[in-house]
Amino acid sequence: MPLRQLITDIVSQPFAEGDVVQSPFARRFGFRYRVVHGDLMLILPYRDELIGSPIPARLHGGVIGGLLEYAGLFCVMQKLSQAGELPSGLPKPIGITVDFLREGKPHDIFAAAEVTRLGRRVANVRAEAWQSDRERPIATAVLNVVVDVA
Amino acid sequence: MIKPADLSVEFLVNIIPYNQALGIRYVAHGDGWASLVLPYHADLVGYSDTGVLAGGTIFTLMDVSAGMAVMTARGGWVPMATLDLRLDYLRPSTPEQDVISRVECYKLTRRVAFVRGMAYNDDPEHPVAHVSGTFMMSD
Repeated sequence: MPLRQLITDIVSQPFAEGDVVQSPFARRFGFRYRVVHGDLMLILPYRDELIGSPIPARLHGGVIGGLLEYAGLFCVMQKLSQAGELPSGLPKPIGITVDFLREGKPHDIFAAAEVTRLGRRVANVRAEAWQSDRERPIATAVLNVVVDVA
Repeated sequence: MIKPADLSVEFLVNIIPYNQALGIRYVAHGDGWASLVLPYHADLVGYSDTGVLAGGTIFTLMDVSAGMAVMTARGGWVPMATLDLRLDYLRPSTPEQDVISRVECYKLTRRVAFVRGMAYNDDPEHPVAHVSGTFMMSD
């Protein structure tokens, strides 16, 4: 099943959960998606290979950045799909800026995003990642994504 | 002759589990800069129909390279944390090709280090991504 189909399925269901097997990178590291009342979040279950600083054990900043980028891209695809405008080509990120707010502990990470503006060519997106407490994000990101890909 | 500083950058890059998982390896470093390589691997592709590496893998390469650049500027490893990192994707990384980084620490204060750099496949004049960011020294 292509990624496009997964997004279409996600949008059509108020509740859903599963592995993101449509992207080799996401499958390799065990990314999962969860939809609750139509809100989409990505989950990266903890595994030892995600560590970036062994003592004390902390998640690699790149793990957090990569998850935030996927959350942002998924959110854009969800919005495009809801608008009936998901193109055959997939959205491409132009840039991402990540603010690291707290250390990533060796636990699961969650990420969600919102599209601040969906233009004809570019979507502006904000994403945040958290662990035990959604009110205490470990990182936030802004992304710009090209959406008019043919 | 290998100096202790040479060993430590290479050693640190290689012992980090997530670097190992992505295959990121040491290439070279100097005073205030570091260069690493992210070897192409099919498992690291974002969308299988394009064959282009997922952005997160290049983000990781640049984060590690930046940290190592700061370390060389400081003259040794110090506890530090990435404060912010901006990555511009200038073009898609070419499928089947490795990505090489070169990041420099262009300003160092007592608490903050400023970094910038590029990633490319085979030609530094034809970059894949540009990075800029800041690190906080935590000691």
